[in-house]
Amino acid sequence: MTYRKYEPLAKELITHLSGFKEDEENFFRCEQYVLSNLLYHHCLDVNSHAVRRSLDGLILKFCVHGQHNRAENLKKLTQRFLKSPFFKDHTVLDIQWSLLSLLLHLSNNPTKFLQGSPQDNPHEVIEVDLASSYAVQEDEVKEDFDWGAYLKEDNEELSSRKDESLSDWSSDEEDEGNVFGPLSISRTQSDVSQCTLLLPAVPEGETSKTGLAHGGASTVGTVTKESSHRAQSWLEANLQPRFWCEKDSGATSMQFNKDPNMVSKLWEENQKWHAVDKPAPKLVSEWVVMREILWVLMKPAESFLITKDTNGVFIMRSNITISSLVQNAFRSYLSTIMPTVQKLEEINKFIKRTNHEIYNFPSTYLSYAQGLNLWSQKFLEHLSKLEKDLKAQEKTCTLLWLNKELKPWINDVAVIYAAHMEGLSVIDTAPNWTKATWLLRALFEHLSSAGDMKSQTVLLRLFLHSLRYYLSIIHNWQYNGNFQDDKDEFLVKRNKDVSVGDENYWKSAYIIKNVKCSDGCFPDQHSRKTVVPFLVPILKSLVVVGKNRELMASLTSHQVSKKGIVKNPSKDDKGSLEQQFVENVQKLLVEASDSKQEQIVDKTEVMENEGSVQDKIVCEVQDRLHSLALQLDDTYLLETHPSTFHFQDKTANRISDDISRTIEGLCINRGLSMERIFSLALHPLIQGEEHVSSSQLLSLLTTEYKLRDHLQLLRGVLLMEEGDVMHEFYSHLFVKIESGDIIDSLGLTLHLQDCISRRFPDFAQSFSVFVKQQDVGVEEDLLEQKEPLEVPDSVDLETAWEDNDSEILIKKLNWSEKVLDDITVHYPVLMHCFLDLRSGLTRTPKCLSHSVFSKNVLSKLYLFSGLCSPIFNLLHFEILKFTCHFIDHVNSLLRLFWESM
Amino acid sequence: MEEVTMSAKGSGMTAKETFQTLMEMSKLLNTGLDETTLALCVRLCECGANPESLAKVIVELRREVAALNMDKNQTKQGQ
Repeated sequence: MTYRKYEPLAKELITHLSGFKEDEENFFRCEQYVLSNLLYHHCLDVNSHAVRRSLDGLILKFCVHGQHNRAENLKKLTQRFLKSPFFKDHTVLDIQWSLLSLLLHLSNNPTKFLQGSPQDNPHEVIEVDLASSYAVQEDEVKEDFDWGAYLKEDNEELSSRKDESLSDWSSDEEDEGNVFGPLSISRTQSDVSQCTLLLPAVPEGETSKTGLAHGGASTVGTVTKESSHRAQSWLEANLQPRFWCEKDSGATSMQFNKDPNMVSKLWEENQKWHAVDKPAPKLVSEWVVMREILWVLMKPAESFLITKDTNGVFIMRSNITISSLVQNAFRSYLSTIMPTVQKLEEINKFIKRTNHEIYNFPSTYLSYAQGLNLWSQKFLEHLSKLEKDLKAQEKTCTLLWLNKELKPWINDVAVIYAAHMEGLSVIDTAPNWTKATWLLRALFEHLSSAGDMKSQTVLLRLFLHSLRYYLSIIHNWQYNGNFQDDKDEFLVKRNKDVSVGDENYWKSAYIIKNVKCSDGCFPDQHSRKTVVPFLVPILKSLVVVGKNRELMASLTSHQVSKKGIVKNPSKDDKGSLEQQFVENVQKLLVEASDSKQEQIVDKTEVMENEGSVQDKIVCEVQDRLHSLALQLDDTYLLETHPSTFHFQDKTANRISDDISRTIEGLCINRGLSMERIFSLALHPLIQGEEHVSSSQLLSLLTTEYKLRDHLQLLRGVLLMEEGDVMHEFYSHLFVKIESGDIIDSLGLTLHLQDCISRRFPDFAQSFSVFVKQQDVGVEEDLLEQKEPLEVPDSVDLETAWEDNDSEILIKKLNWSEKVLDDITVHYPVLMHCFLDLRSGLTRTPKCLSHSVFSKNVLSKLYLFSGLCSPIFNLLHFEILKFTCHFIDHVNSLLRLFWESM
Repeated sequence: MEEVTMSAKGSGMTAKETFQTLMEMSKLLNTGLDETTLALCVRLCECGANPESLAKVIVELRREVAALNMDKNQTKQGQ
């Protein structure tokens, strides 16, 4: 049944669309295709809601494309169609929706299609064209500000004129020529003239000419005059006058002052009568003045508001005022800002100089400039924010409001400037270390003496930034044993004449500079303390740790293992000294403040940390890449992909940014002793490092260099605790002396080594004996000497007086000391290491009893010698040059060893 | 313009007006349907044809006709 219904209609459709005849093969195929699709389709039934939505969407699309007329038409047609009574009693349900659905499916880009070709209905099309085009223009006009209304009026008049002359299009040519020819020309010309009319300086003559040129276009001329007036008024309402030009400042400024201060006006009028010579003041708006102030603070320079006098000092220009203040009041207000501008200029000049002349300034100055720069950026951001508020004009902005906003920053500028000028008061020819230390001291003193907490906070940040270079030097020195101070600005100096192996290493390897500068480094030639107080107590510890590290580095340089040079493991775990110090300061500040303040500081830290999460993720990825490259140990990979594995600089930058960020996040919330804070933050780090380095050095010496064994050997041999070992040597020596044999160094050396090798076979070869023969004439003179000789210091008088022949003994001692040959025993060990090693260890008690014991041993030796023979030799040991001092050291070291065992 | 009578019971004017409205909408939506085709479509829809399948058929027929015409033109130019 359905097939029979469709068949004739389908055939007709095919014939109409394709033009095929019924007997053609194509027609047959088309028929089959059409019928099969109509009968055996898989399409869903029409959904009226979907159709409605599609139509609404299409209407919206027309609106979006600016084709509002078409949208309206479609809407009206749809409503009319759906409301048609034709569908009320129709047999087919929802036939209207089916038809609409059909149209929607067949629609082909309706927005791009320009409706109304002349072929269909020229009259209607023209009308629709005009109406739609002008309607579009209307819409565009509505979207613009004032331009649209002006254009719309003009177009309406033209269209109305056209409507009137529609019937005349096919009639008189002259009229057409008069009306439409010039009309078309006038349209373009008027458009151009209208455009030109909108500029400020357009003579009205042109517009009148365009109006008068066309006889029938008198309305066009009037419109252009109106439009010119409208344009000018719009310009005056929306354009800023050029207040910095003399011509405009007086003329247009008054228009903005709707409610001028009548009192100030009266006063000024009165003043004018009395001061004829003075120029009339320029009146500007408060808004202009506020913006000028902000610009001047952003960039201190001459401007409309301020200028420089002959001395280079910023002053306000004399003839400017605002309507709400008299001139003097305005000047007094601005005079509070002029000094700030001057100070900012100085600070900015310094920052600029440090950026350009890096090599001429100590690194501490550069760090300080970086801190100043960070503060300056914050200040600029605040000024930008204020300017945005001014430009937005969404709240009441007055000079009072601006003053309130700027006051804390102006205070900061004053504080910073005071510290800045004092910190840089050193003469240019002063040494870098004086400049650096004095800068730090000046900042520290201002920080300690600052009144309010905000000033303290600002100065604290500046001080910490400035201290970073010092801390980096200390870090490299303490943790890596590498003392690098290229610009010689640290408090300690490495004596390059003293190497690690030098016996004066412990005494004079590092020189602490004079903390009191007295070399005329200041303009007033007074000497002042330049070092920061909390650094003084740790200087010695720094030197000790430095010496320990350097010694360890030199001792282990020939024993480099696969893992590399021994480094302080705490460095890898906890970060650099700068980081640790700043974090300690932060913790101490937080602990010292209230709990609420803790939360605020934590929140700011969280906010700062959140802002850098992405950077951290990127850096972590780069760290992994770099560690992977290191594992592969491929230098070519690192070189060919520098950007990927260029992580050291980025890491350094990241760390410095983290430290800077931490410093900038510090805040002082209550009065605190900054010296105590800094001491608590830094001293434990240095002292801990001292302990660690000392223990490391000690373990190195005991394990690698067998210090214990050496000291035991010294004790046994030179201090003669191993009596049986040395007895044989002495006996042999005495026999030789008594027999008058020639004493030679080689023989004595071999004998000594032979004796020692029985007890200490490993160290016997290190000993050697040298003999220095005395003059023969001395002996004869002394034999005849009858005067009592001086008692040598090495003799214990108490023991000596036990013997009644004390006088003879003394004589013999002196005689032997001067006459007999000098015999010295050499033991080449790291003497300088042992000598002052005590200073590198903690808890070193003095052992006087051992030194006394040793003296007694020597004196007994003398007595023994004296009893055995009238001629005895006094053995001078090389080591006795340092006798008491060395014995104290050695015995204390031994005691420490045995206590630790 | 042809007057297409619709097989509906309503008044001719109503049907005619409705058809004209539909025609205007068709032009507005750029369907490319002339009055005859539209009338045929309306009758097919009244017979129960699904509009979506009908639309597909019409689009396909147009496409094929356009392709045939193009071939013819090319052969003519070749000659």
